[in-house]
Amino acid sequence: MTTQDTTLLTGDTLASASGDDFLALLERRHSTRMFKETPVSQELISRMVKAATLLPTSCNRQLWHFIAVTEPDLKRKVSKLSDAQQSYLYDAPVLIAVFYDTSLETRNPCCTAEVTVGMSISALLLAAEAHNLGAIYLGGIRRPAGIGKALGVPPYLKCFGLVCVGWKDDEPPAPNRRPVQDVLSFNTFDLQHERYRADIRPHLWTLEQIADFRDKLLWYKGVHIDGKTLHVDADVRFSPLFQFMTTRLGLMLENVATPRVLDVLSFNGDVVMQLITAYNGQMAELYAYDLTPGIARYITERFERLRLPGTCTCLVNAEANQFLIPLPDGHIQIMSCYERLEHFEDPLPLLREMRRVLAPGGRLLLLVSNRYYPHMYRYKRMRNKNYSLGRNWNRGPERKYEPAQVERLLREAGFRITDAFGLQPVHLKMYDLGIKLCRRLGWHRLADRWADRVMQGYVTDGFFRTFSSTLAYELE
Amino acid sequence: MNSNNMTTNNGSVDMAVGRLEGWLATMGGSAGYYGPVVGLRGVSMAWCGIGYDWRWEGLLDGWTTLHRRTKDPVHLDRMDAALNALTSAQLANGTFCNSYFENNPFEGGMPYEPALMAAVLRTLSYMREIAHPWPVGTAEMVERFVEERLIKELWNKVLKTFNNWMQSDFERYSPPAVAAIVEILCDYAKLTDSAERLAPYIVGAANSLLACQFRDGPRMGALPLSNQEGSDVSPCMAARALPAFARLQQQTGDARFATAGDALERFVRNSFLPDGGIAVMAFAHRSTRLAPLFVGATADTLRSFERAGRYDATLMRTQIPWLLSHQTASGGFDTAVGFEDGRGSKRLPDWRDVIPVCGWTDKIYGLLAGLVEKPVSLVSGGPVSRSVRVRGEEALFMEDNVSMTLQSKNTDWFNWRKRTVSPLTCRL
Repeated sequence: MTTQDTTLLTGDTLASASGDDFLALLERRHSTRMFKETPVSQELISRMVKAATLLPTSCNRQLWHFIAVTEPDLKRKVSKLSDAQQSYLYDAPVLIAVFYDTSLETRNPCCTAEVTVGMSISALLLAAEAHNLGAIYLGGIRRPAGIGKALGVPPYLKCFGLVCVGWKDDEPPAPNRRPVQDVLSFNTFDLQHERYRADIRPHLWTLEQIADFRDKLLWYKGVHIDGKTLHVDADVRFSPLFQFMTTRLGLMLENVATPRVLDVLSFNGDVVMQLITAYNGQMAELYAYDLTPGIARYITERFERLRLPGTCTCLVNAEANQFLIPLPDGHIQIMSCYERLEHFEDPLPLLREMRRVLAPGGRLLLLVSNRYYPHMYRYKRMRNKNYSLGRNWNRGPERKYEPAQVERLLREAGFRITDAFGLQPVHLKMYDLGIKLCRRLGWHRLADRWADRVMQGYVTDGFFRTFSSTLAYELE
Repeated sequence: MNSNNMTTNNGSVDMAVGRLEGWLATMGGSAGYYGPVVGLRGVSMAWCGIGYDWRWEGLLDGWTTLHRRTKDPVHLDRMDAALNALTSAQLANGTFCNSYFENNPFEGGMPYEPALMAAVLRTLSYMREIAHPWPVGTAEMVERFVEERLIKELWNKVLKTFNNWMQSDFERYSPPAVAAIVEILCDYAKLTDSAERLAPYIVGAANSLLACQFRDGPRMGALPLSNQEGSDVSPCMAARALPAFARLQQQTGDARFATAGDALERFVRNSFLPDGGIAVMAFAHRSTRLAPLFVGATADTLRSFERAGRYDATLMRTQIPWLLSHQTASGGFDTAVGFEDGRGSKRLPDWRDVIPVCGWTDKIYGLLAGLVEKPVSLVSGGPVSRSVRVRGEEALFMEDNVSMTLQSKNTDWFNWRKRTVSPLTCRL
C-alpha cells in the first residue's frame, strides 16, 4: 500500500496532506500583470482548458467555449475592443476568451450559468499556476459582444471575459485577505459579518467597514507596488491636481525649518511619495497615517521596492471605531489630506483629530471634491442606475460637499482658513467647447489664445472657485 | 568642431559662454541645477528644485566638448559629479525623480528621461575613450534604465516600439522619445557588447520612426509628436530624430535611414525663420504657428544638425547672432519670443518669454561650447529688470545672482530665492 493510499484511509489526515498542496497552490497564485514574450505552447493551453472542463457545470450542459487568441493582430483587436487600457492585454502571449451559452438559464435566480463560467475561469487560473504560468482574469470589458463578433463567435454565446496567460515577468506581493472566521458562519448567518456590507452611501458605513474596504481595495485599485500603474485608472499622481498639491505643500515647507509632516489617510502613499521625491531632506519627520496595518504594509513595501531616496513612518489608527492618530497633541507642523473627507458621513471627528495633532501655527492643506461641479459620471450613474460607472466602485462610499458645508465643518473643528482655491473650474470646460468650435471654424488664433487660458487657468481663487472640481483650503 | 564653425565666433561666443557659465553657477552646480520651468506644454513655477530631466543633455555635451578641446580637468569633475547625482536620483524601476520638466515634480518624464540618458551614454563613451573610470554605480544606473524601464516597462510587444507610459493608450508612441531611445540602445549595445540581443528593439523602434514619417504634403519628411492621425508636428522636436537616423544608417548601412534623414532635414531647414528662430508648430490644415519662438529649441535644433553630421555654416551664421541677442544681463537667456499668440513682440513681452530656464539654456550652452575658440572663464552677470505682462497686467521681472521675482502693482506673482526647491511666493 502506498503512502497516499494510507492517508486515504485516515479521514482528516487526507485533508492535511493533499489539501495542503492544494492550499499552497491557491496561496501561490496571484494575478500576473507582466509577461515575458516567450510563447506558450498549444499543449499547455489545452491542459488549462481541460482543467476548466472538469469543473462542475449546471445540469452538465457544458455549454462553454474557449478561444485562445495568439495571432498578434487579432490579439490587438481584442485588446482594443475590451477598452480596458491594460498593458497586460497587450503583453500576454495568449488571451483566452471565455464564452457560454446562457440562453437556457437566463432567469435562473442563482445565475447558475454565470457560476459555471466563474468556476471554469478559476480552474484556468489555477491550472496556469500549476504549470508555473502567470494569468489574470479581466472582466471589465466594455464591448463583450464586439469581442465575440471579432472572433467569429455565434451570437448565442456570450463573452464572460478574458484570461491573459503567459510566462511570469513579475513577482506581485501577496494582497491582504480576510480571515476565514470573518467570512464563514455555521448554520445561520452571523450578524457580526454585516460589517462587510458594501454600499456607496456613506451613512451606511461604520469606520471599521471603511477601514476594511480600503485595506482590501488598495491591492486592487492602488498603484502597483513597484510604482507601475497597471490598473484601470491612469496614475492619479501625474495630474495637475497632484502637481498643485505637491507644490503647495512645498511652499509651506519653505516657510518652516525642517518640520514634522503628516499625510492623513495616505492609502497607497502617493502624496507621501511625492513629498519624499520632491522635498527629501527638508522634513524632520514624515508620517503616513491610515486605518489598518495592511495599508501600512502596502506603503512600506511599495517604498522599499521602489528604493525611494527617503522614507516615512507609517501610523495606524489606534481605535477600531473612532479616529485616533497615534501622535501627541500639537506634534505636526504641516499636514495634508487629499479628497478623504468624502468617504465619511460625518467627517468632523476626523477633522477634530487632525486639529489635535496639528501644532499651534501649523498648516494644513485640505482638498475636497466639490458638489457644485458637474462631474459627468454622477449623472451617467443616476441615469443608468449603474453604480459601476464612475468612482464609487473603486473608491468606496462618497459624499460630495458644498463649499459652505466644508467651511462650516472646518470652523467647527477649530481651523482657520488662510487661503482657498478652486482646481479645474467649470468655465475651463466651456473654453474647451469653444476651442473645439473655433478649430472647426478655422479660427485657430482665437483657439490658441483660449487654449493658453486653459493652460494657465487650472487654479483659481476668483468667482469660479465655487464651481471647481476640487476645493483646496490652506488652514491653520 | 571644424574650422567652418569658428567663422561664427568673433569673440562674442566666448563671452556669451563665459556669461552663461556665470548664470548657471547661480542656478546650482554640477550636482544639479534648480529653477522654474517654462516648457512647450506648460509651466512649473511652484517647484524649482533640481530636475533630473533633459536639462542635463546640453551641459554634459558641452562639458565633453570643452574637455575634449581644453583638457581642463574641471569639466571632467563636473561630469563625474553629474553622473553621481543622477545615480542617486534614480528609482529601482529605472526612472528618475523629478524628470518631467514642465510637469515637475514627477518621475518618468518623456521624452526627457531618454534625452538625458542618451547624453549620459555619450558622456560615458567619451570617458571610456579617454580611459577615465566611470563613477561608481553609473553602469548600474544605465543598465537599470535600459533593462527595467525601457525594455521591461515601455517596450510594446505588439507594436514593436516604445510607449511613453505603461498605462492607457498602447497604440500611441512619441517619435521624439523613440528617437532618443534608438540612440540609447545603439550606444548601450556598443558599450556592453550586446548588439545581437538589442537588435530587435533597435530595428522595431527604427521601423516605427519610419512608419510615421510624412511622405507627402507640406509636412513631407516631418515626424509628428505622436503617431496618432492628425498629430501636430514640432520642427524642433522632429529634428531630434536626425541623430538617430544618422546612427541607424551608420550601424545598419540601410539606405532608408539616410533617405529619411534627408527628408527630415529638408523639412526642418524650411522651418527656420530667416531672421532667426524656428517655428514652434506645423499643422496639417492651417498655417505654421510662429509664436512663441523658443530660443533654446532653436539651439537644440542646430545641435541636432551638428550631431547628425549635417552641420551647416550658413544656417549657423544666421541663427547664432539671433540666439546671442537673447542673452540677458544676468548671463541667462530668454526662453521664448511671442507667448500670448505673438502679441508680446509688439507690446510688452509675456512673463513666460523672459523667465530663464535651465532646461533650455543647457541646449544653448551645448551648442556654443562647440564654437568657443579660447578657454572660457566664468563671467558674473548683472541684475536684470524688465517690464512684462502677467495675465494682462503690467509687472516687473527682476533677476540677480540670488533671486528671481515677478511683481506687479497689486500682486507678488513669484518670488524665488535661487538654489531653493520652492519659491517663497508663487501665484502662477
